[in-house]
Amino acid sequence: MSDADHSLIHDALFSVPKEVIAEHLAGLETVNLARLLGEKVSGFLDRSAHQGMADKVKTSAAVYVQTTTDTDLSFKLLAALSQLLGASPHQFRSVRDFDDATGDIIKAAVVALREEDKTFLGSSLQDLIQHTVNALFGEVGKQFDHLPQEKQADVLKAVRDLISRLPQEKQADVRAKLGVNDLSDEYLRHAVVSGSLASALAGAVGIGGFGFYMGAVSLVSAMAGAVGLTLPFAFYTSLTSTIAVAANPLFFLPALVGGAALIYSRQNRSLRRKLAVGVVVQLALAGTAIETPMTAENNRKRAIAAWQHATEALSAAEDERINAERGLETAEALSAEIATAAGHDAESFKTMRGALSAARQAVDTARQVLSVRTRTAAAAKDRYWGLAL
Amino acid sequence: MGEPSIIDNPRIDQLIRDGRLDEAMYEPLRTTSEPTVRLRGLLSSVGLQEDTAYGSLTLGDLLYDVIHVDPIVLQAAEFSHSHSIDGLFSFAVWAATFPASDVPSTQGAINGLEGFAAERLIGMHLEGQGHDVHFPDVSNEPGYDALVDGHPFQFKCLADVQGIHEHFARYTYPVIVNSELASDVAGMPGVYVDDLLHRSQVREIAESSMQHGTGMAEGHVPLLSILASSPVPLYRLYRRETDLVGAVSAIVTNTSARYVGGTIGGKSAAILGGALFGPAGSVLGLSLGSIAGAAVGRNAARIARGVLTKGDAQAVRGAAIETATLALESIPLKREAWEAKRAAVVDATKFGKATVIGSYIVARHDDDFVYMNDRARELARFRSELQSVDPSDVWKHLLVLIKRAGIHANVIQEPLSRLNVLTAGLAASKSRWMA
Repeated sequence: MSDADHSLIHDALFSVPKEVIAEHLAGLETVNLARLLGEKVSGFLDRSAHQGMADKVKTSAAVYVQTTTDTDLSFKLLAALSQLLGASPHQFRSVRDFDDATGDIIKAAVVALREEDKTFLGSSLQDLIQHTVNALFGEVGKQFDHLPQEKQADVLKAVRDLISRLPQEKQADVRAKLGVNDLSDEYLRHAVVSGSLASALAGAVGIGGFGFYMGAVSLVSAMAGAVGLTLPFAFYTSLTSTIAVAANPLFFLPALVGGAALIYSRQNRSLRRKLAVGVVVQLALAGTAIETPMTAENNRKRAIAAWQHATEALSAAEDERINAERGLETAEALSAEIATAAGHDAESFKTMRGALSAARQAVDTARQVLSVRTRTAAAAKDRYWGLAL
Repeated sequence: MGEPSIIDNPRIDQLIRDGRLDEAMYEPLRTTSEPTVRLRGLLSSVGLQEDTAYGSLTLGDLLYDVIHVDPIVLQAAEFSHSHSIDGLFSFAVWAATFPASDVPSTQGAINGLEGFAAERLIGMHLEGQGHDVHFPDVSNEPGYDALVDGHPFQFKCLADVQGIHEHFARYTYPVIVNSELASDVAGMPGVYVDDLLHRSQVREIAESSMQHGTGMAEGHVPLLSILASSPVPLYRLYRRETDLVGAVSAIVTNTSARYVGGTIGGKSAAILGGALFGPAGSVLGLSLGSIAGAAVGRNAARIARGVLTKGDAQAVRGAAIETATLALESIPLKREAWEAKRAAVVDATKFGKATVIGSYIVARHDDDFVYMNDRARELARFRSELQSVDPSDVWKHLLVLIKRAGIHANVIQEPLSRLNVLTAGLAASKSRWMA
């Protein structure tokens, strides 16, 4: 694995539109097995029930876009990926820190996929991408038969459009791989279901580039929508197998009667790790499509400055919290001292009542200050949570 | 001249003509880095991947690495056209610092050029690993060719080990040699292998240089173009292509008979160990191979082993602390070297268009400097927390940190060898008590 591979990920993190980062982040935070099961139980056999999850992701992403800066979103996504995949925490004070961090994330993603998907035997980002692209096109064939007739026609048209976007000679290559000259509906249907189209299109991703890839993702997403699942492909491909498990009575009957905590925990972890791997792949592919490297570089520099600022803010907030804690201790000690002195002597209670009241006020104020400071410190820490601030 | 150009991205040329040098720095050198090609590279064969990896280098990457080795090359640059930058990397520019009296137009000249090219190539490879390399103003310093992080080193590109023995008969300076000698020098104290330096390639560069423009004066022999058109990854790609954690893990868990996977494929763990950590590294694979097996055991046995092997574990930690301490002690000299290099770059970029390049190079230098210092701090923290680290894992973490901090193996050879022996002893103890 090379630093060039690593930089694909952070180039994407710092140059793709904010909305994309927000959607990845919202997906990782929102999707879990409990929610999927909830939807499954509430709308059993009602495939449109999954729409609710997609809406939740979109709503959460929209909130992020409104309330969070680009830099914060990128850091949050890095943190979420690190946490889900179990990658080492990092500081971000120089460009090479991003290489190290994304390198660790890629390694963790490879390990995660090998553990979660026994058909994956790869060891590099390249292997991850190839496996995922093949899975993507494989889904076209798997889902096709479930579609109503008119949707099948739409899919065939979309496939033909997709191929027509390739240069002429490359279209000929695809036809040659499929073994036909004329991409008739009948033949395309056969190619889709048999899987031969999948391998021909997977090979064409490299030829067609990122635009072609995105077209293919749209196609799969559209098909997924037709069967009631409109999440982005990264989520979609990861969800299908998990949903199959979750929908199996052998899984969810024990879950309903309890005692399935372990199964749940494993499946949920598996689902979320696969989602994270999907996001890593998506980012790497997006990283290959970057046209303006200077934008990524400038955003990275801004991120380093933001990290520095956050470090200082956290340090200042911690200092203030400690000071507030000391202030509270002093005020409480003073208050107790005055109360004790007043208790010994009724006369002095009268004269010291004012002082006691002031001391109690000071305690209240100190408590409030401490509360605010603690929240500030926690918020500062939470802001880049998991990234070794 | 017919050689492939380093830069074939027309946008670079346009930006330079428009006076937008700062933007040109972020442009990829080649149009092979077009999105479609990049994606194809990512999804296809290794050969194309290498090409894509090269294509992902920007003009800034190239200038940074080359100028970091030889700030003086900037003085020859005009920055008026991409060809003038290609010219910047020509052998002729570097060779201008080579004393003409040493270069008669004979076989002797080729030999002289070979030595010169090898020096520069080793320098670039070391830079790629995070070291500072300084070539003394007067060439042919007795016994050493360059200062690496402030320490004198001899660079040699030889057909056999005879020259190495001759060197050690007179001097004690460590030597860095070409890859062909890797198996001959394995375990030889003070000898390190540059596994990217190939004698045949160096010879080709020198001979091309003689064919074009009588060797030096007017010749446009793009050294890096030759490298770029070869399947061997470039200087900076050395770092890019080396998965350090994976490499170290491979040395720990593999024997020399097994190959390191991924992009490093083809190098045996022992050779890789030699390249990364010198003589001690080259034998680590063999002696530490048993650790992986010893580390696999039942929990109960682990606790029992923990008690019975406590002394061995403490000895490993002691050697690790010593290794980390020596590594940390080398940091101040390295910092001085880096600061001197920064001053040299600033000095060489005072005027004209070079100031833009200078700002870029200095910013990158400062960024790398922050990284290096942070890793040094991390190393210091690791040393202070060593008591809580599993002794079987100590060496892997330690070496990754040392490499990331850009500390040359020469600094830590002695305690590293001891750590090697002690860790092997620990593994043996664990095996014994596990049985």
